[in-house]
Amino acid sequence: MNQPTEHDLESAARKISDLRNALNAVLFGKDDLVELVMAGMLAGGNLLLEGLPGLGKTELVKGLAGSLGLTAKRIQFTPDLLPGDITGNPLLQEVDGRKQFVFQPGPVFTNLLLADEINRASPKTQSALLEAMQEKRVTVLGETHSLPRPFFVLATQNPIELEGTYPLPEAQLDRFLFKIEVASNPVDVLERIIIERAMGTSAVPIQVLSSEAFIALIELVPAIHMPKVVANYIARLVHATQTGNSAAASGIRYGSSPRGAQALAAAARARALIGGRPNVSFEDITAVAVPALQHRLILDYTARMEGQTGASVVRALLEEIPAQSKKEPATLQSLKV
Amino acid sequence: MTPTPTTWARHFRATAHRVNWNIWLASFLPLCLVATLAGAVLVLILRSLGQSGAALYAVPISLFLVAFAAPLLRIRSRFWTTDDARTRLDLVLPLHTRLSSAAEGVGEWPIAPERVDDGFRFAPGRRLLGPISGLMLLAAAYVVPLDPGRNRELPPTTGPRAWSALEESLSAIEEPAVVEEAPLQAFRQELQHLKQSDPKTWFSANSLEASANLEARLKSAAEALREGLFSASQALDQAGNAAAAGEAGTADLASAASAISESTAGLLASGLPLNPELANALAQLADPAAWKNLDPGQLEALKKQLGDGIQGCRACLGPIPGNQGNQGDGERGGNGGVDRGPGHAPLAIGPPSNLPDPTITGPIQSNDLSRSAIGDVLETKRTAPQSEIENPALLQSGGVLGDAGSGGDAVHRPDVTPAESELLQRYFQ
Repeated sequence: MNQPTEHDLESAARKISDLRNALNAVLFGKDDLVELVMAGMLAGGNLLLEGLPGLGKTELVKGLAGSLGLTAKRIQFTPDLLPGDITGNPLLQEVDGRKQFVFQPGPVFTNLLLADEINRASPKTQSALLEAMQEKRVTVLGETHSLPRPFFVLATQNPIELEGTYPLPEAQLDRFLFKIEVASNPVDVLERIIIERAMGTSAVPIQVLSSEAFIALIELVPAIHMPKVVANYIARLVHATQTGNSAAASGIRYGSSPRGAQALAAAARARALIGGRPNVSFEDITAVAVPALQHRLILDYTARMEGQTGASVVRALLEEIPAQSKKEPATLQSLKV
Repeated sequence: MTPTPTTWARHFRATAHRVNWNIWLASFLPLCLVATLAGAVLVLILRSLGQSGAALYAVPISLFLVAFAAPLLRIRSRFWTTDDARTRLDLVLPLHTRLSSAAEGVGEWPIAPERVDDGFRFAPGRRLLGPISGLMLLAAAYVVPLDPGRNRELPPTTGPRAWSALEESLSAIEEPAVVEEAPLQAFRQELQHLKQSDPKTWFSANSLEASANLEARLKSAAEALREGLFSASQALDQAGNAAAAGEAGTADLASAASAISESTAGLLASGLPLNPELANALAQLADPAAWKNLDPGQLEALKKQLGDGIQGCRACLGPIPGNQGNQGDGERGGNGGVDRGPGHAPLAIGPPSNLPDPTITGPIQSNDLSRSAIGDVLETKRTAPQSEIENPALLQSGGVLGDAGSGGDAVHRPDVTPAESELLQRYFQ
């Protein structure tokens, strides 16, 4: 793949900056969240947002759709939700005097699908999203229907109401590029929300990019150069998630799959593009490692009882695994790294 | 202006060199501690063995060289390459991995500064304490005084005194030139052989015995030579007197000439034979006819030579008892020594002692008991009572109340201890 020119990079950085500004106008005080969401979407991934209700997850999706000129649909997952309610159902209709099944597309046929409280649906229904997320298509009654491009799933989870929920299976979790924890707002942000947003009103996003322009940005991401030393760092980081390969992995029962390494690399490339850089840096890796890896680690019982989480383990891994592959001499003190 | 990639390459090399030097140092310091401690111990051992000079410095230097080179074999795989150094600078400098990308042909090289901080600071911390302490110990090992007793094992620098005495004796005999050189050289060779032996064995029993034997043989030969020369000298005197008497001394001259002949033959057959010239001169004088035309000066010179020879032999033999000072030239030991004089010295100032002859051995009896000790009066000894084990009947009856005994029998010997003796004395007084 051809390397992007400096003009390409500058143009992309400008467009992404516009998108960031538009999203920040919709969602106050969530710069980090906005950047991660943008990186995840530019990397072509699906995102899992975990946070309490009312923190702006739906607003974010609406803002994304509006800013990018994309279609967006929202599904509130409930225990009685059926797979067909997502993918669509064949309906018996009369066509040219003959009755036949005609596929009625479900809400999954959209650019941005907000799967709200995805862990409340049954595993069967959750699995219905698997093919859509991975293959960008839906198969119903033997017929395969491609989803519109671009297609993203932004699922949410409520971390406190676990009763009556169905935790997402590991295979489905692995399909999410990021799992992003949406933090509560600080006082100044709350104050701004109170002043600028009346109850029941929502911000009207400004479209800053066309869907075609956004697709062009997505296609630019794989062209971002990944230096060998950075690729080596990703490989050592993911390898260290396996039990026995690092001290931080002592509480991990199953580590990250190669898909996790690919996700980390793709997200780092997207972040480099956001920064207008032609290559990935070590900072990109550390910035996206937690959301890209935390949901791919399965902790053992002891680690969970000790209060460890996937995020804390990934942070410990980042501390333990140095970017430099060779050890530093004991007689030198490193001041900057 | 230096091209940017070249400048960056220089920075990479500098960083790699610095890191590699510190990797080596981190491995060297513990080995240095071991080397210094081992070196200090070895230096002390060598010093206690009497080694000095280069050997004392060669051992620690060798250990240091080993400690210097050993890490290189072990840690080469840990050395940083310039690529590793580039990664380090990528991490430290706010360049977002542009150096690595540029090295892989993506993007331009950033402008290279003249100096680059690689973010490392030399901080050996406590790692230096061990080697420094070891070096101080090593230095102390060179200067700390050792136990002088350890030097007793050092080999002697001078040989036994008998050797110098032998050399002096040989020189004394050789100086008057009355004997042949070959026997003296034989003595000298034997002495040289002893000197060339291991200095540690100079004072061994074998060496000392060999030296004493050599000295005894030399003195024996010197004594024979002295007696021969003395006889020859007396015979010359007698012959001279007889020759001066004219016809009246013909018989004496013949007798003296015969004595000269015998003396000459004896001297030629001794362990230190006369030199041929002197022997010929004496042999000519063994003929009475030769005395008629004899030059008196020649005779005096001959007598002087014999006298010098005698003096040389005396110097070799050392002082002879009773022949010192102005007592003249004696031939044998005088009457001095512990056996000289009538009887023994009284050993005390005062009237003659009436002590008994010490040469008589036997029990001493004293009639004056006023100054006697207890042991002088009573024959007592400190010992435990001993049973009469030879008489079983006494043993059986001893201590049995019902057995009154037959009288005259004793179970124990009547020995008393000094304390019992003193008690008995006080009782009877």
